[in-house]
Amino acid sequence: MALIAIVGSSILIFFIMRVIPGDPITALLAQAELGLTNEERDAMRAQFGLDLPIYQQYLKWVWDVLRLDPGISLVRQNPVLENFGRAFPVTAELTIISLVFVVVFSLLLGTITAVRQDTWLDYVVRITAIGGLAIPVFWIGIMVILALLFWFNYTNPLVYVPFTRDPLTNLQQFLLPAFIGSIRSIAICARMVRSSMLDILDEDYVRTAYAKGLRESVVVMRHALKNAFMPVATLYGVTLIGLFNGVVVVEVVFNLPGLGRLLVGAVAARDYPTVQFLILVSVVFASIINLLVDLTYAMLDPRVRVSN
Amino acid sequence: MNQDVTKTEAAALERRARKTGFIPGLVFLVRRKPLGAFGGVLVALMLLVAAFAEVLQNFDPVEPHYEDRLINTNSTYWMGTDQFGRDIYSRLLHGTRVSIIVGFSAIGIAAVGGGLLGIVVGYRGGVLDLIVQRIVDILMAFPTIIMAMVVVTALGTSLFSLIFAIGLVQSPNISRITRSVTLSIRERGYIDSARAIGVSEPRLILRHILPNTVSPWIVMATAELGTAILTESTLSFLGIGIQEPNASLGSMLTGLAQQYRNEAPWMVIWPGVAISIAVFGLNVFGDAVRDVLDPRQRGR
Repeated sequence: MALIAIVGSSILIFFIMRVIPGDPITALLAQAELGLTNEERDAMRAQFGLDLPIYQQYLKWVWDVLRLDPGISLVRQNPVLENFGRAFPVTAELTIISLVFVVVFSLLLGTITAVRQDTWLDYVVRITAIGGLAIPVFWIGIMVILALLFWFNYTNPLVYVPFTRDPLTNLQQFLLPAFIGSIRSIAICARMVRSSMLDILDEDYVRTAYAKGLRESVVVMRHALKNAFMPVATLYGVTLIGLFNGVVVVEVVFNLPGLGRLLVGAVAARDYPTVQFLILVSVVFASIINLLVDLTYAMLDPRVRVSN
Repeated sequence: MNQDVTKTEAAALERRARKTGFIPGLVFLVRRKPLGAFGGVLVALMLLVAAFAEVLQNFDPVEPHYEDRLINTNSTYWMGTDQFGRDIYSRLLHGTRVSIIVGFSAIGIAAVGGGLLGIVVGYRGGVLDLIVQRIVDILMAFPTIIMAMVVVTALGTSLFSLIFAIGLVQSPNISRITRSVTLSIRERGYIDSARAIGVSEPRLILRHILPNTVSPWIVMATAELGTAILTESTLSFLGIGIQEPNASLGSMLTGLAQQYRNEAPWMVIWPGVAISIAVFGLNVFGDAVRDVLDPRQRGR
């Protein structure tokens, strides 16, 4: 299933990219404004394999990707894989930190608002969540940067520092963008945790646990949270995909040289080899996540496991 | 005696229930859904701003005033000026118009395209349904911004490709909803009856199934409007939406605005406020519409 999705979307991506009026060379030349003759143009097409029939172009591309040679960036004139390799750690780190934020904060907020349902705390968190979902992520980022600058005269480190070189500066650089990029997902997940938790708190065994005289913290943490977590666990997988929306944006706002910024630049410059490869990578990534989500679901829920 | 009281009460209730005119309906909405009504007011204001941008503007939104660059809020420039001395207030009005046009058209495309597709495959079922559902799976498993970026790359940056990209990204959700509603309607007796008296398939779909899917359809479309406008602003912010010198709420925050934001923060504050208010209004209004039209989903 996941394989079909990957193959299907790779074909889709490739052909979407090729139905465009004007091939990449024309687009590139229009930008570079080089006075090339038609022969030179044809030679360049041949160099990039654009003179072959389209299905051959597709097969060649798939073959190139499989042997990890997705071609040369039309704009930067260096291998796409090289750019990818440089940008990947940034996005991976950002995504992992974001996911940690999402899990921790959504469980915390969701549980607290469920246990203290209809108190002022519940209302404050819920109203903040409704309001927060309306504010664009990139704008929150810009405002936070400005606020820190004006009130604390603080600027987030501007030049990217790899974790291996200076872990502290690196974390200082990543924590803020990761948090801002995950705000939307936190709001969405916290709401799911809350409603899932509310359902569980109504169950008989929770009442029994209270009746046994267990403390509230024990009931909530040991008995309720574990079961409330199950429907939400799969949500986190889906969230990981949604998180990428936030990651793209914060990379641009906070000037982090990750995959998102690479992609935005490539889209703006119509750098087809780069765009194609990055999109393919994210399709593969999304498919793997979905597969894992399905598998985890079976692992967590005995009913699904038994029926299979 | 007691029974009489209940009878009068019942009659009163019935009278009240019959009052479904526009004004009483409005009063009902304000009383029962104050937040939703507030959202409705915000949406109405936004539509008015978009419709009468020329009347409300103080300057031409693309006209530069080089002697008045990066000026803070004052009585001439209500929200200050940008790096070319263009009036931000006037640009905001026109930007709102662009964002609204993009958002509403995109949802229009998604609602008609995705919605009809959902009904047809839901009604037909079989292999067609299977194939379409797998494609929908792929589309839904994909980060929306990236999906939209693919489309914009392919079609080039223009207003139309932006609308189409956002519409495409939003349509899977809507098609899922209309499909699931159609699946349950398909099994009803009146559909069998209609088929038995020889109603043709297109007519069956258009006259008998479609009207019954309208309410969840509207609910979904209103709920997605806010998301569409957010997506537009994000794409424009990333520089692949509305292009200079034209303004949209997102494009006013991109590129040069980023360079000048430290000396002229008003350039980035106002457009963001406008987007947030617009999306907030649409979201709470959408929630209220859902509660009224589709009580089963209430509180979720």
